[in-house]
Amino acid sequence: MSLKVTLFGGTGQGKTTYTLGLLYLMVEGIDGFRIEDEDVDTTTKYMKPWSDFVMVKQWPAPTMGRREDRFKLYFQDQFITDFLWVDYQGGAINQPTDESDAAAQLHADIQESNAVIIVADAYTIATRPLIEARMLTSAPLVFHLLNSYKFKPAQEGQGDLNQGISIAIVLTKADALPEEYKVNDYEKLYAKARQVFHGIHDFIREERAKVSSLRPWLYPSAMLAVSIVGEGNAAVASEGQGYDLASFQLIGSPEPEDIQYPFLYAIGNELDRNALTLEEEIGDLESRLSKLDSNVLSRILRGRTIRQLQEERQETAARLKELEPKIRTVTRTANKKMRPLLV
Amino acid sequence: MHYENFLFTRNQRQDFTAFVRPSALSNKDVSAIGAIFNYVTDISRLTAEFPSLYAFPLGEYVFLLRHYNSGRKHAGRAIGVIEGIAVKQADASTFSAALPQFIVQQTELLNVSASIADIEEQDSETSADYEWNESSPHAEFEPFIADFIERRQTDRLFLPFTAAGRDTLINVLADQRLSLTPYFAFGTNSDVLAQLEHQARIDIASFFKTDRASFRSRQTNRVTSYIGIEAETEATPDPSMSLRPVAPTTTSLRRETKHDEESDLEARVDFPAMSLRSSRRTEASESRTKSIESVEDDNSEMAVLTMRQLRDKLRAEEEAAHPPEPEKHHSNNPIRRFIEFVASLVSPPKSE
Repeated sequence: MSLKVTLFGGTGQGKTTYTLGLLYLMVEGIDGFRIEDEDVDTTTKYMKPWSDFVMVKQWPAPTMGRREDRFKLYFQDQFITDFLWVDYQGGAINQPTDESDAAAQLHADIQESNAVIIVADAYTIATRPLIEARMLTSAPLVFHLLNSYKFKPAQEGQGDLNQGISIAIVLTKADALPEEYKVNDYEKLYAKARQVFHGIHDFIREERAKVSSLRPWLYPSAMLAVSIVGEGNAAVASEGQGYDLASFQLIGSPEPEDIQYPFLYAIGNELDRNALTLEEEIGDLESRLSKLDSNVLSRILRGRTIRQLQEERQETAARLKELEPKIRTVTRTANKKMRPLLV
Repeated sequence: MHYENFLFTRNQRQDFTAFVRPSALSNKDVSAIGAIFNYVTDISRLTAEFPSLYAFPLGEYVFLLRHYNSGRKHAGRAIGVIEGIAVKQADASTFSAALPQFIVQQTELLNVSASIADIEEQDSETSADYEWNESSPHAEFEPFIADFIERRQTDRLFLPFTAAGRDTLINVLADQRLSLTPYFAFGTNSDVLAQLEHQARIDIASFFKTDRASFRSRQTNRVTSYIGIEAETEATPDPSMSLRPVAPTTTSLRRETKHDEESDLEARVDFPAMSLRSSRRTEASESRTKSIESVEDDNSEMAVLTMRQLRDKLRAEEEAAHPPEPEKHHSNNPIRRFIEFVASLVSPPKSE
């Protein structure tokens, strides 16, 4: 079982720094969770710009293309899952596929992804007028992509259970927020983030209200305010205006806060989706068994089929049993921290 | 020879894109260039006067590109520029002959961004077609060229990333004894080099920290010989590993502690049979074995539900709103019950 997690979002939102900080934390382990790269050089490549960031106080160079790397997630040395991490430059979302290969790749990646991590600048969300915040975070295009490849095909009955997707919104640069957006556990920030990402928010809300035949639980979505540098370690160097985003100066050593949780949320929910699939398989097998059981003649004549179904059911149940503690381990950590997109 | 311009950078409103692109360059090729240069994580030392220089084939073209810090910033981060010229592969041999002159004139010839009035207002455009008629400069012959030609299959030539290194690069490229175009990456790192190797064999390289000319194995990247110092040839060891003296254990001043060896200092007072370290190890090991299995199914504090928890919650709400009718379970028909009894004896037992 391998999961595909795609990280994307508008330009300048903090994707690269988030990825570097996440890898830095997860390589040695945090909360018992640790990741290992498939190619031993992957970590080294990520760690070099992170090291420059920490030591020279220099923001990482912007991403210019697509990157994908394979990792394994462990909890206290026990294997949880493989996953493929795909990272994009912000521009990929803003370009049509016939003009940019990166855009075409992004569309394909979202189609194939189990989970997406959308990175959005909390400072922009908080300090810009709503419509500007939507444009700068590329929120309408984020929704457009998810709608085109994940929501609409499922609504049109083109998909199955796995057409759903886990959505984690990472609100970066939370340390720099005006105080009013931080109080009550970032209550005001989350409220505005719901407005900024209202396309996704409304889709989830409508599904819960059962306006379509989709099962609403297939689209878990949550968000979290995070800081890669930590409270008090960055200062606003210049306020943003127009397309210019606010820039920040690193004044202290970075101390990442909460950045692992959106990632664990994405992984945990996709493990849960696997369990959901297994549960439905078991339910299906039980239903077939009960139909056979209720037909007395079948029970006499088709004992072998029943035995096969029972064995299959046992095997699936064993797989589910093996998966359950892993799911609890990840979701217990992540889901407590994340905040729901829909309240 | 005809050439076209290429300019890859970003402005405030548009992320990295090819603002000026050769007519036959595909989107995939542009994406490949972005992916290659993605591995340069620090451009602070690269300037328009002394940029990184690259020559490699891609798609229908061979490129000569330079990479440097534009001095512009986006969200506080330095914006790089990758710009230069592209020549159709059919003209590769002419391109090869002109490369030394191109590099000599890089500040003007490769300066595509100078042709843009305002990068903030620039949209993507196709390059015009330019003609090149100049002849290549006369270059000095480097004494190691014969050696380079001989070992080119197995080794790369590494040059220092300095002005002198660039002069040597020009001399090497101007040497007509080289039958095939030597593609190069002057001022780069191993990740970019690995990416470029997907496009073509790179013969000449210079890492940002290279300060001495040498030949390095293509396979291991180890120095096989330095250039210019006769004494340090084939036997030159790899600096990172082989130069490190292997200290015999017997002469070590500090006693090596084996993993399973316990120190007196760590002996646990209240439990003399077990040292602190072994106790910690045991506890850690126990906790590890327990770790996943012992996680309780305590979801009470979860702010966000998992898929199945949400499903169960919604179903419970649904059932509360519309309680199902009680099912009728057992048949009272005695004949049917008798047949069921017989069937239960025949069919295999139900497993849990």
